[in-house]
Amino acid sequence: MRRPGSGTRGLRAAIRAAGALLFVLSASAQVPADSTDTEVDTEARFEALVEDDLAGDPTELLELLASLREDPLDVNTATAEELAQVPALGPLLAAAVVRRRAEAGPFTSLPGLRQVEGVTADVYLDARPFLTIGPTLETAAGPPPSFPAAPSVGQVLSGLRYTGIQRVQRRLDLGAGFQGPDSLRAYLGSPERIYTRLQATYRRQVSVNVTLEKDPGEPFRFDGGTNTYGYDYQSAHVAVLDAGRIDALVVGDYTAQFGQGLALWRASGFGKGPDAVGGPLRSGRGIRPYGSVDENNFFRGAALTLGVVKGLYVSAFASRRALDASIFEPDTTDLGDPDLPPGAFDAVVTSLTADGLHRTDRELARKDALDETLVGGGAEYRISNGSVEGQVGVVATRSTFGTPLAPGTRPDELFDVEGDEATVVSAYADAKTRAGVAFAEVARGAGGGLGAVGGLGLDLGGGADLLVVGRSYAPDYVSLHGYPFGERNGVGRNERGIYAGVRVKPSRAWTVNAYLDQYRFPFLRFNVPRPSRGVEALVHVEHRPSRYARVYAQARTETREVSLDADNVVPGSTVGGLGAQTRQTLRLQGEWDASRRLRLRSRVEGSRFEDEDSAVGVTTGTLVYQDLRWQVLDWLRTDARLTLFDTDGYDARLYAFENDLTGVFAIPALSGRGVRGYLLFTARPTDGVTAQFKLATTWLRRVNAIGSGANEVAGQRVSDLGVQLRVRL
Amino acid sequence: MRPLSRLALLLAAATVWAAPAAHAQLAEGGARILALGRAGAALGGEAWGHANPAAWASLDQTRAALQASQAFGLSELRLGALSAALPTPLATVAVHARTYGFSERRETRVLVGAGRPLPLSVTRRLDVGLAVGVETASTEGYDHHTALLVHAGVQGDVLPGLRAGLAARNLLGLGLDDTADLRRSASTVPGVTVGVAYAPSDRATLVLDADQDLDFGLSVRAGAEVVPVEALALRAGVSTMPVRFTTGLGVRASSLRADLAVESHETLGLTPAVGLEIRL
Repeated sequence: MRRPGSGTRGLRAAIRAAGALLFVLSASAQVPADSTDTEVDTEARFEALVEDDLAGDPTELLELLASLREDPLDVNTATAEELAQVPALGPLLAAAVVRRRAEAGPFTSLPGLRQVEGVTADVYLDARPFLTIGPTLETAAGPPPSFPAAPSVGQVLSGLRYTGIQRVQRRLDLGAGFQGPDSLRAYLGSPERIYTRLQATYRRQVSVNVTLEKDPGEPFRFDGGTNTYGYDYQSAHVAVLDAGRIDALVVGDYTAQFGQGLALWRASGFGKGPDAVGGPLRSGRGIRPYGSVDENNFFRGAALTLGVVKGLYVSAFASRRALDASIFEPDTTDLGDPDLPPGAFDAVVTSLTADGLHRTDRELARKDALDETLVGGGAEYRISNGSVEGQVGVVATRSTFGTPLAPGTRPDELFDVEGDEATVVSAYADAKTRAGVAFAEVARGAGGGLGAVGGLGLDLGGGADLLVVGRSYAPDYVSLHGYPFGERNGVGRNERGIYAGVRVKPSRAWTVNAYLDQYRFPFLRFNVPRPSRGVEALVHVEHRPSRYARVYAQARTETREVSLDADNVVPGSTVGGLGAQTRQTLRLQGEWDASRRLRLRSRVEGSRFEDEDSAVGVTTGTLVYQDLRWQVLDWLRTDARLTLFDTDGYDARLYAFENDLTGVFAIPALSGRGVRGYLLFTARPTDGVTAQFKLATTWLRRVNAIGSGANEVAGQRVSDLGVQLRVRL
Repeated sequence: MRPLSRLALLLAAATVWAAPAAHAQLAEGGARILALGRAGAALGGEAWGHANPAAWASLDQTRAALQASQAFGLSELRLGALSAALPTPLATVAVHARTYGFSERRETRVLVGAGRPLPLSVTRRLDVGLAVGVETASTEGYDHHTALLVHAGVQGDVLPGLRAGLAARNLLGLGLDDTADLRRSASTVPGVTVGVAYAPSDRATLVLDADQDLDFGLSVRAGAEVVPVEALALRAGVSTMPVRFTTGLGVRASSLRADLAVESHETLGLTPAVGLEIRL
């Protein structure tokens, strides 16, 4: 693909020189990126994610944000889908940025983003760490190309950046499973979690990656029978992205995200949370390489997305991998019984396991027990002009399993996938204009049921935005690889609901987000013997009186129906009744950047849990923490926190996002009465080298042991240690 | 009533009113703070570093202060305390001593501390403070129990008129065994306090604290101080866990300030406190 001006060497040199000059000017004009503003928003969203029955591992989302922070997006070349990954922007503002770029030409400096409608000072400050102005402004010359420029092999080889990460984490107070081979439920391996990642990248266009991990308790050994090659988990890929007509080419591990995630979406997305309008919006990134540590949620094989003509992309992908599963082997002593139907002696899958833990013989027996072969494809037309950003597409997958899946005998398992094949077909579309956004996706699941999600977002003017999202996932709608928006993030089944979120910005310093989500489960669920319903609401008020201070208050309440105890059944019925459970939290958090080197943060939070079926009635909890971030030296940063918490029980638990080793997701659920403190040191002794050390301890009072089962630790204290070395060349 | 009988009565009261008792017995930290519902984590310029040792950092004069209180009117819960703070070029150094109880049960505390401002920029600074000391609790017929105390805190002006304070007390007690021990003083329980103080004008101050310790639940405290004339300050406050209402006044004459506070507990009654402060 010819780039504009490619035929004129002198012109190209001039453009490069101008671009380099602009880059220097823009860089020198900026205040160095301050990530603290961004983190408080992101942390609150992660906390909301965990509170909301998250399905899946949000580590990939955390890694994505860390990657964006390290390799910021070029606002002049990034697509709307890429910009939508920046939490402060989301799909709506990302589309607005692209529209502005198309209308007025490339941005010459990052503060120029403020000219985009909707990008307020707060949004700009939050988005800034993830954005940059590229070294060249070649897009300024002539109309934008149909496809991004493909780098030459020489450019790639000379421009590769190498990253190596070695991480070791260990619990210092070991649980019962580590007390030796004679202990009950003894783990086979050592208590260390060991993580190694090697990556070579060229900008955002080429990636070669190997990720290795061993969880605590997993043996570090070489055993081909259990696919253990030192580390228990291995992942690798080679990927080319945004290179000419190649939108994505991945060999190895990858994910697929299309539409609203109804059929395919493996990276966790933010859902309901303090960003009431932006959180539920999705913007599928298509095929993307995978190198995270969620051991189940990815594909392994090859995938290609190709640009056919400008705007039209087709995708094809194939995957063959083994999933963790429990296999039921029938008793073959009855082989001669003529009354048994054909197939009665075939092995069947009774459940899929997603925790990725292989610490005991029993867990190892489930490892890679089920082969899944998946083929899929799709076509997508992407619209991008001065007035509309959007896409319309279809995608379909067909999975074939080595062992048939068999639904269980519980009533709620009636619509589980059955057999050795599963096909999912989906059609989706979205459009973003100045007035707002509209999106929809309809899919037919493996069980033949239909799932649909659609929404409308409107800019009401005067700093107010509104988002309404409706979803309907039939009980027999099953998508094994979807992750749609819903009450139970990522489940997307047996649910109908309507969500309304509003964001109001009455002044520069105040922002109010609020949502109301009403939902019902039309069929019974695990441990809930009848159709049930619930309602959830959140109000988040943020005040930024100055650039250095921010405070927010957040109130959240959720009431849902759950099963009554067996002693409390409905008279005259053999089916149990339903009772309401209500969980409420109220949080007040303040943050002050005392200087460029010191940030102080405090939080006070209370929780209330009421179960009308419980004899306990109402339980409550409180939490207070003080957090400090101190840039001791230019190369050394310290994060410290002291948290005191007091809850009546687990139901009144409270969550608090923690800073951890880069790429590690840490939101402990705090319950009981106790203290948690941690120290995190981050040292950057030289360019490209980052060393981190974290020590965290929890003391619980009035208990004799912490945890349960093989993870039970005698005493009142558990401490965790983590070290990480990251080298980037 | 014989003292031992009174002790038994008090222990019984502490059992019945577990949370209220521990919080309410120790009416300390200065009569001004008491009158503000005990909310003082963000108040600077106090000779008492009880709510936050960083308060010493913003003192510009040497101060000595005395306090006496009698919880719920019971002579067995009488408390006397002394604090003195001396600004030096390096830091403000302070000493604090208090005794509390009666002959069969006495708790005595001695602290030394320091607070100093750390310049952050031309216009901003952070006040930090640290106090270390010992507290001895003696109960007739039992061994003495001595605890080493370490308190730390910070304060800073977040916005014009708005000051925030963070304090952590009894840091050494975080990992200690929580075996119930009657000999131990309730005031040695670890805790943290976060607070803000807002002064919309020179004549009004509003304070709000949230305090959480390891033995009891979250206590929210709020207070207001109005200075109608320079010589007089009127104060009122409220706190939870237990619910208490407070009121008080301060009278200033030259370098002397006298404070009076009364705290009302719904069940246990009134706690009066008086204080005197001298500026040198």
